[in-house]
Amino acid sequence: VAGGATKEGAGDGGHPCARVAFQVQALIAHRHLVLNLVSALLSYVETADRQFHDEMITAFGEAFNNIVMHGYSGRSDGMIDVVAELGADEVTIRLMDTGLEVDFASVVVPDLDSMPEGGMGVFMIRALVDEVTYQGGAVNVLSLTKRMSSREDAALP
Amino acid sequence: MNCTRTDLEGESRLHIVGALDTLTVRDIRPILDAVVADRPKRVTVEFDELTLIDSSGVGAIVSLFKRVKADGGKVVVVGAHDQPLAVLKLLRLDRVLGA
Repeated sequence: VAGGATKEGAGDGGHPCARVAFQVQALIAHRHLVLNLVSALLSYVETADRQFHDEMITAFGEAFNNIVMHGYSGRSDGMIDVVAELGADEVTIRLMDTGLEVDFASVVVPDLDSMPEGGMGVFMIRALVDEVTYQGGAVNVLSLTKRMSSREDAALP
Repeated sequence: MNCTRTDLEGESRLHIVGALDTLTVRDIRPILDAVVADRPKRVTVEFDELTLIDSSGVGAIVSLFKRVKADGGKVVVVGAHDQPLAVLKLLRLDRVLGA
């Protein structure tokens, strides 16, 4: 894992007060290492509570899984760049990879009543953060933004 | 992740400690398969020391639920709290699994 951090502002007006970047091999074996790193970063969001933390970690974990298992399916040489922008009451985490592009928009909502055993990852990501964008290309960029200000609408009870 | 199985008069109890996710689910699958093969009347999955679950972990528990139910048995989850309980609620599994 390689990385760095910069402090960019006071955190007011929605501007990030800290920007942290790191790069990690796209291996499931590194999943807990990466989740622990992101968990530590989230502790710097002043207003974040346990629910905010758990929802972001869960969404990030599903995004990491998808890149490793689908984007870099069958490969062990993939890398993921992670950039976290930590504001006073919001977090944006971008995951960038050069694996297969995912047609994120076409992923359908699973029929939860049928108790599916898979295909829930994208649904969980969308349900747990406030804003999800995906841009495919030479570098695929998945961006997850979560705000404490929308806490009343949070998905996890 | 550590999973301990205890059997008592037609009931299997599974106590899971740590994270049940894409990384660890491969370790629990043989245990779940063995439980299903024994066709217990009831399976109790103890989540009180489960710290994190993801969609893969949920998938493994749902698979257990469906297979045990197909053999006439029942699966219940007890002790879920924090992130695991919240994920079960998000996927509307808390009531089905008794969590």
